[in-house]
Amino acid sequence: MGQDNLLEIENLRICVDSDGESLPIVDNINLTLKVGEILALVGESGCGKSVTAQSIMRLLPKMLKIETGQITWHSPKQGKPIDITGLDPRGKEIRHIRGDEIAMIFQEPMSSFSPLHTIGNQIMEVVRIHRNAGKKEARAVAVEMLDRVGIPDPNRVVEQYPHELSGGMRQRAMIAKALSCDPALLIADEPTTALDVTIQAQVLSLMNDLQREFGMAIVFITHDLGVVAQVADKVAIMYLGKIVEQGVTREILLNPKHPYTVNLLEAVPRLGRIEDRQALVPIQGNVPSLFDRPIGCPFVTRCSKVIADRCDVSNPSLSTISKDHKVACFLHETTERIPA
Amino acid sequence: MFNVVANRILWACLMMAAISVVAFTLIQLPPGDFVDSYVNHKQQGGVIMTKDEVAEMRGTLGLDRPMYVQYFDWVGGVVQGDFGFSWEFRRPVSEIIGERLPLTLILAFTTLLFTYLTAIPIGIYSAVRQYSVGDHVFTVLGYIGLATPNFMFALVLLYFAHVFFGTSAGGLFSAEFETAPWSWARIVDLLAHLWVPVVVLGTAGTAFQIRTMRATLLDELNKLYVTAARASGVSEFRLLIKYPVRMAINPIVSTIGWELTNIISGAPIVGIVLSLPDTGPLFVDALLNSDLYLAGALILIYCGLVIIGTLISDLLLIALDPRIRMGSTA
Ligand SMILES: Nc1ncnc2c1ncn2[C@@H]1O[C@H](COP(=O)(O)OP(=O)(O)OP(=O)(O)O)[C@@H](O)[C@H]1O
Ligand SMILES: [Mg+2]
Repeated sequence: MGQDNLLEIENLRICVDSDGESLPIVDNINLTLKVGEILALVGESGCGKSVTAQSIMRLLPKMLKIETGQITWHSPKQGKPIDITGLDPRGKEIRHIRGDEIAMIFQEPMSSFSPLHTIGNQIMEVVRIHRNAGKKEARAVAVEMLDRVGIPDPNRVVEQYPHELSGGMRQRAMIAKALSCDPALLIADEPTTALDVTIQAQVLSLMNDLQREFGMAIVFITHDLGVVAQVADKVAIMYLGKIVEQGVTREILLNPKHPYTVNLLEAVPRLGRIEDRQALVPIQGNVPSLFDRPIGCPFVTRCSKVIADRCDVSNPSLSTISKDHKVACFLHETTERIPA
Repeated sequence: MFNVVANRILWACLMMAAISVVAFTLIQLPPGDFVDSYVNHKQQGGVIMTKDEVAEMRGTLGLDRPMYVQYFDWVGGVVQGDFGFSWEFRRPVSEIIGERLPLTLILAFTTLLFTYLTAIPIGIYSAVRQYSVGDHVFTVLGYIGLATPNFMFALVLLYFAHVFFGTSAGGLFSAEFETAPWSWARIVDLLAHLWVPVVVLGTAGTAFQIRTMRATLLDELNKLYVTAARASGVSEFRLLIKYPVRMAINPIVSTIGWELTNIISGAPIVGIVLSLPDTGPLFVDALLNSDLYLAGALILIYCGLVIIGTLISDLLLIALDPRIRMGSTA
């Protein structure tokens, strides 16, 4: 493992308990993130992006358990590696990391603030927990952060309640809260999905600017490959709880190998294609249910290039096809396998 | 903010005025007035009153005047604290009520306090430890509490108090304190008796509020703002109290007026079963004897309590929820 790795996820498997049976929701996830790097997690709804992200902060709901795997956090503030999977999810150690070293923003800016407390109160709370700061000091930080995320009149906004702000402003306030303790990693779970297009673009460019300014690493969850091209250094494509293709953004987007990635790219609207009057190609069929996982490759039910007696029999593992590119598909199998 | 508060208070006053008309109408509804029941009473004692005597009696009592005149006469007095004269007791109504109302108020508000102070912590426990043994125990006890009629519960408690403690659980005072002036010892004696009617009157409401608290809190615990607060490193206990519990308290608070209504309407029956020296038994007697001014005054006071309860819950909600305070509909 490289010395400048910030986060390492190895063989992560998260299961849900249903009727005494434990079903994997995500399986065999391997990811690494260096300081200041932006990783995009891409996939259709329900493929396990949020669950993966929540496990990094040990925020999984009660029914979900990390069954195997290890998440290692190379804490820059504490100067040592921490085994996050070994921590008590309600304990002190993880609470020190949450909000201070790793922060998170969510899809729904409407409901990620408590409606009964002011914006200022909720930002100051984070500062006071981690900075041992007094009220005045924390308030000054809150005002400064609101200013830095481009909220006009921050002195007034600290006293306001969430319902007084628009969705875009609330998401900016959420970002201000997340960055208030200068975290080394920001997890952004579809931060722009609930916003309208012009606001989306503003929030995205704000995040880009702030990343350059604060230098934090970002795990960016999205199902929009257009966004990936704009922000991410690396990308991992997920399907039904597994990573099917991962690597450097440029390489994956220009040279996609997995039929699912190819299909995803064909489903992205692009100006050039509209001029050529090429139709958008939706991906056929629906994501199978977790309880009804296909035998063999997870994508076999929707793939147009199925190899008979191969794809519907066994599950391809991720193999390295170049330095910056891994794919899990029998069409692109190489000899140097990454052990599953 | 000031506007919202003024608005609620104005509504409470208007409600009170409307209630006074309803109260007055209600007490006029049963056939016959006080004079009729007086004549009946005399007849049973063998005294026959002549038509002239009856008419003269109506005249002195003012019962021959038009209804609206009687109404305004009555309301005019009430505003100045004069609730009229009880013919049954031959004393001013305000005097009779003055003796018994404090006990009714103590009973009603202690029950209210008991209801919420028990229901909120148990509701929180049941939600946070959903499906634990404790949660199941409280659920079963709650259903029993909801399903048992108050008078039955009162009788059962009377029986057990007698068998196990050898005390009579009826009344609110022991014999030696019955007519004694207020003193520390008398207050202690009152508290020793008060728990019986409080538990009887409060159990159904407590059971209901536990259900409400548990359901609302379970809902709130899964909300995104809770995860978001947890993700910023807030400790679990602080998180619970500051966010979801605060949210779940609002629907509970908004039922204070309604809960007070239940307590007050349940009180007379319980008062009779437990022979309490409060206004409950007095109210039933006044209705049976067509003691117009006494009954009217009590209806008015009971309704007034309900309106005050609603006003309290409205004002509390305004204090607790900025969305209501700012008059937003969200
Ligand atoms: N608390 C839970 N109990 C049971 N199953 C759950 C729970 N939370 C998530 N899941 C399941 O885990 C799977 C992955 O969910 P997840 O929220 O990670 O999807 P996602 O990729 O983030 O989708 P979206 O794009 O819609 O946010 C889903 O199939 C979902 O049904
Ligand atoms: Mg999600």
